[in-house]
Amino acid sequence: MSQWPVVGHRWAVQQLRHAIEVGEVPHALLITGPESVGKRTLAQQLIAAMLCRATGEERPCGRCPSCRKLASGNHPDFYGVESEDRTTHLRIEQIRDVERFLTLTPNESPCKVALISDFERATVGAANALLKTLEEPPTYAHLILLATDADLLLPTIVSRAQQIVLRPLASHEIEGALIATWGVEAGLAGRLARLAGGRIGWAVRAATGQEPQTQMEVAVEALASALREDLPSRFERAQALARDTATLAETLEAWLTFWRDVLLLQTGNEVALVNLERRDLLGSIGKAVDIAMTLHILAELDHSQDAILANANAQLLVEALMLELPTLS
Amino acid sequence: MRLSCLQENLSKGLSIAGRAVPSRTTMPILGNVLLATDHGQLKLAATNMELSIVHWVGARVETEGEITVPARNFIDLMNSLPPDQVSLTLDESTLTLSLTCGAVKASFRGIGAEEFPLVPEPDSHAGFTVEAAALNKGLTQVTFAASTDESHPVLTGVLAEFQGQSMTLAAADGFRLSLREIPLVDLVPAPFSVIVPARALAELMRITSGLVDPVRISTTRPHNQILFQMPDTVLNSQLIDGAYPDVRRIIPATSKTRVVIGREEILQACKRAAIFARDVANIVSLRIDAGELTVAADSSESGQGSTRLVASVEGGGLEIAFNVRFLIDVFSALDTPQIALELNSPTNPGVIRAVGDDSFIHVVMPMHLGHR
Amino acid sequence: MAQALYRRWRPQTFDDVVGQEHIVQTLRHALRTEHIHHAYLLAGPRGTGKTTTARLIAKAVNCLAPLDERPCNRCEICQAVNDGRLMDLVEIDAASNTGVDNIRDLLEKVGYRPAQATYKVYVVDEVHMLSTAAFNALLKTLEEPPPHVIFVLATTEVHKIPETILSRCQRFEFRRIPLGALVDRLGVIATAEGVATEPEALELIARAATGSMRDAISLLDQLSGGDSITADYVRLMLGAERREVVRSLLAAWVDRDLSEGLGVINRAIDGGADPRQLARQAADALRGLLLIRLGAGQTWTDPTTEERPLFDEMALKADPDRLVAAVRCFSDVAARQRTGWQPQLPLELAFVEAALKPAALQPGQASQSPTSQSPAATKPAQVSAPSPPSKMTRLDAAHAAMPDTVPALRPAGDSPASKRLAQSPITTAAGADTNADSRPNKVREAPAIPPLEVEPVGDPASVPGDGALAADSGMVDTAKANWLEIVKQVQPVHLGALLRDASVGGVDQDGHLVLLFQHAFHCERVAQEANARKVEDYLSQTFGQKVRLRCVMAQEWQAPKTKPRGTTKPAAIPIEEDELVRRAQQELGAVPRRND
Repeated sequence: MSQWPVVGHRWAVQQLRHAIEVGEVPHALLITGPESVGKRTLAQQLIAAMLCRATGEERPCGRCPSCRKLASGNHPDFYGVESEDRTTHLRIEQIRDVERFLTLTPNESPCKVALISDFERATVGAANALLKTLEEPPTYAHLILLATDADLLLPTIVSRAQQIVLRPLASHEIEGALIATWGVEAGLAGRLARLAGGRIGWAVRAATGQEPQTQMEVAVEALASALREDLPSRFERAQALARDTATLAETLEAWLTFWRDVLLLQTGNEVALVNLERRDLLGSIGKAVDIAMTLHILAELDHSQDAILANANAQLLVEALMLELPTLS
Repeated sequence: MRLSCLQENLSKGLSIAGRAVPSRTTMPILGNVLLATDHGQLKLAATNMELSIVHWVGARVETEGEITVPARNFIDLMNSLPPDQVSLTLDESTLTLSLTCGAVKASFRGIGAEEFPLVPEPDSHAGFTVEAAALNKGLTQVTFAASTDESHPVLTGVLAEFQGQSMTLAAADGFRLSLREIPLVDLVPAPFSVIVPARALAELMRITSGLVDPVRISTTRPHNQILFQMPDTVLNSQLIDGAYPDVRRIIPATSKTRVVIGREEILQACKRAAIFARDVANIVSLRIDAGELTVAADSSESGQGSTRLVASVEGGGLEIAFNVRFLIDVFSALDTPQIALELNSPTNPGVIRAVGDDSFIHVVMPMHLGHR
Repeated sequence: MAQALYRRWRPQTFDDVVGQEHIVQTLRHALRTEHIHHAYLLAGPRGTGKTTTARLIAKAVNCLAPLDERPCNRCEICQAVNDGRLMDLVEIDAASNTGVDNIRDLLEKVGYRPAQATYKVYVVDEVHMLSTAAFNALLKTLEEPPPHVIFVLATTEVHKIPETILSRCQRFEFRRIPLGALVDRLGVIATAEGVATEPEALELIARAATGSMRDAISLLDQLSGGDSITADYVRLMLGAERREVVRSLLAAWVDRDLSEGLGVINRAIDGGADPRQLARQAADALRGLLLIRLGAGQTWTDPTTEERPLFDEMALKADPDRLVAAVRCFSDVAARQRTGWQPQLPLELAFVEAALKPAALQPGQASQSPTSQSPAATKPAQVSAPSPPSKMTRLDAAHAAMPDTVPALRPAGDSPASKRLAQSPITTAAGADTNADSRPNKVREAPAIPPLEVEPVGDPASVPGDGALAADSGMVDTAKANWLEIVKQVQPVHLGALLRDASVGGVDQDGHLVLLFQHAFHCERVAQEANARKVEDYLSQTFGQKVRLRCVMAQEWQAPKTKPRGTTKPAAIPIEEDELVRRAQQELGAVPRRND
């Protein structure tokens, strides 16, 4: 039996394939996990398998009319909604569209499937609007919700759905997949896998050039330089960083991994080091500052990320961070 | 695919099938209309996922084939063409449909027909035949009572029950019920019922208006759809899943007061009362005394008006309040000269019947007179 | 595809409602004696039976059976309700229909008589989500409901319901379902569904459900795919880590072995553990140690007999202050919502912080800190020592002390260590542009704001004597972090209830503590002179400084653009100066430049 093209999450794949085989896919399924960890890929495989018309072979077959319609976005028994971009909410009207879709009997399949992505961005009203359908869906209806974290959802939503929790992948899983499936050269694959923080989607995009993989290196480079600069230079740097709002969150995330590495070195635990190629710099910082300082900076970075999510003034935020950084002479 | 047909036929056919093209959609294919050769005819189909309409047009088919093209552009162009012969040629490799009509040349980029949602083929052996006029009348008298509140989807549909030699249509929105029995030509072997979206039936109403040929009704069991098959057209609708209220429980078994009155008279009286009822939640009162019925509305803001009508009254007098919109709806939908109003008390549902036509019944909930 | 278990097992009679005996008894009696209210308010946490009870009320008031048999579940009304097709039962979700128009639409319809039943029952779920205008519209009808209408309002957040609405409803408070009741019910369901279960497995499921029957049954449903449900399987599926993991983590914490602790965490995460779950379990176990330490070990029933001596031993090595701080560190992580690329990072930080913290703050008490062979574990020793001369300059001396992200229960006071550190001559990056390098004497004295006592009681030493007039950021952060706790103490109780609508926004230009309200109703009440005074008095007493309040609606409040920082604000940058720089940048568009 062939496998679903999903990297990692073997137990989840197994569980869902089993559900397909015995025809007991839950009516309400909640797939959670960090960004780019493979939630949508898994959901798409599941949906394709549910709608696939192949018999006597592994579903989805990828060839039947149903699989082809799904691939081209023309499957009448599938409906997907997501927030329009990364900053907007899922609205009540979008949920009502889903309900309207599920109200009517299937067109050409035995079941109807609605996929709601980014459910953590649903407004309270939108989430509540879904409760009734989630609890008492029509017999043929299946709802699949994707969210980064169940704790960001209404508890009443979570308790009405079967949950599948996807965790960040181990870096060797990502490394292996990059080499085997995407033909990435081994050295690069290892590096991307460490940088990916368990997010296969990010690693693949980085390897295939869709994600500026240098972004993380740029961020770490900026940090390394800032550590040697005086305050005015740092403020200029802060201004430039803050202007690029699209990458700021990523930059902060990269800095977090950097300082975590410092902490790991300081505590004598090198196994989980991410920025291996900067081992020397990390080491010298680790010697120059104490753990308390490292913890403090990590906490600052962490709070800054929260503040960014809360739409704080990016420039002030980065400047504040610059004030906190120690100076390497 | 290569064929030709008359512009008038194609244009008319598209005006029928094109009704199913959704105004907005997330699925690109739904914005297209399907064109396919079918037994020496041209088949046109469109769907909005709730209902699909297939219409056949006479054509001279040279080679078989099928394609979907953007509906809006194709229809607009077709309507602008002179009444002449239209030739259609499909380039299968580029999925481009070329059209010539007199001096006009045009081409459309299509999407392969295999992407189009499956439209169930009517099975000429299955189903039950009904007279078009009877069906149309049933739809007219029932569909309006369906709810428009989407938070309770079941009630936005019309219940169609098939039993014995009849089909019963019923719609209820929680405040009124309309029910009509329509005779079938054939016997239903095993009784069943389905809930059909009222919107699809409104479309069916339009298509069956003035139609003389009988309509064949069938359902596709595994796919849960209902098909209405007419001579050149098939309308097929998805169904609403759910448990419909037990409508017969809502119909009062007996009545203490029965009023028979001219339909047109009471309709006019209601329309007048509605003017004053606007400010008071459309509440009008019907006062029944010996030999007469008074329709009155009283708005403390804009004034009041009433109409006294001569009526044949059996049983005791009483005063009862209704939403006048509901009364106007039902009186307008009926076609008998007289209607009967059957009541028990101001707090019990009222029954409206068409005198001389036992297959129709309407129940309307009274309003709380104290509520303004 | 089968119907979800929790739907199949939704109670159809009052007898089946679990854990709400007080409500069932009252309701039943009222219904049997036909004392029917026209408005009920069902309040309580999710999954405790509110919707179930609402439907039971709808059945019971309309049931055709004799009074003492209602609901009978046999008559046409009961069956119609059970099938979800009784037109006279209308369920409305207020959360997605919050507006006044939605309510007007509803109220227009209450005038109609029921079609089939005696009463038309309107169930309004999540009623607290209604807008003020919608509440007002509803109020009129609640005052004078038509005789044929019954409203059942349900909410998980009763404190958000205006008093005017509350006073017109008969109110039932649903409570979390006790563990034993959940276990019993799960047992009944499992047996009936033919699922073999271990008793411990059911208890684990019930624990995870935290008093919600729906959660419990959902979990059972989810876990019942295989032949039988074992405790191990439940732990695996709940992401519950093997107890050894938690034990090793605790052992590393006791020994302050940072390397080992981080290793445990990373191995567990690689093995598929959920970091927050792990944090939660660590917090639970630390709490257990605290109980043991305080002599109440027998109330901690979690450990097995084999584990108990191990935990006893650990408890002996950790003093209560350290334990309390550690519990807070880990429970903060457990409650955290955002996850980044490295979801284990917050847990790692919590561990390092918990392992080091009290040592840094109270070096005197850390004397019993066990010696560790690990070279890494000796590093923290540097922390409490005065900063060694290094190539690195630090922004702020107080950082040498552990950043205090959580106020300690017992304030560390102005520990000698932090004082000493604060005075050590250190330059800062911030000072670089003012040429501070040449003026090492311009050292910023840490204001030495001790972590503030949350409880109003406590030794007077913990309250700083010279209360500043303006609310300071330390106080704001403490108030923010402990708001719900603070609110609980406010008297009278209803004032506390009003305050629960609020959150601490910050400090305005006049130094007033800003409270942000979600509802105008609550905001106006609290702002009333007499109430505001009470709150101010209480807060002043609690924080040992004069506190003035400003009540505003959350959506109207724009925080002054202060440094978006929380409790770890470095004390060495005087707030005023920090503020000045910021304002200059913000208001004058000043761009810092080199001062050459």
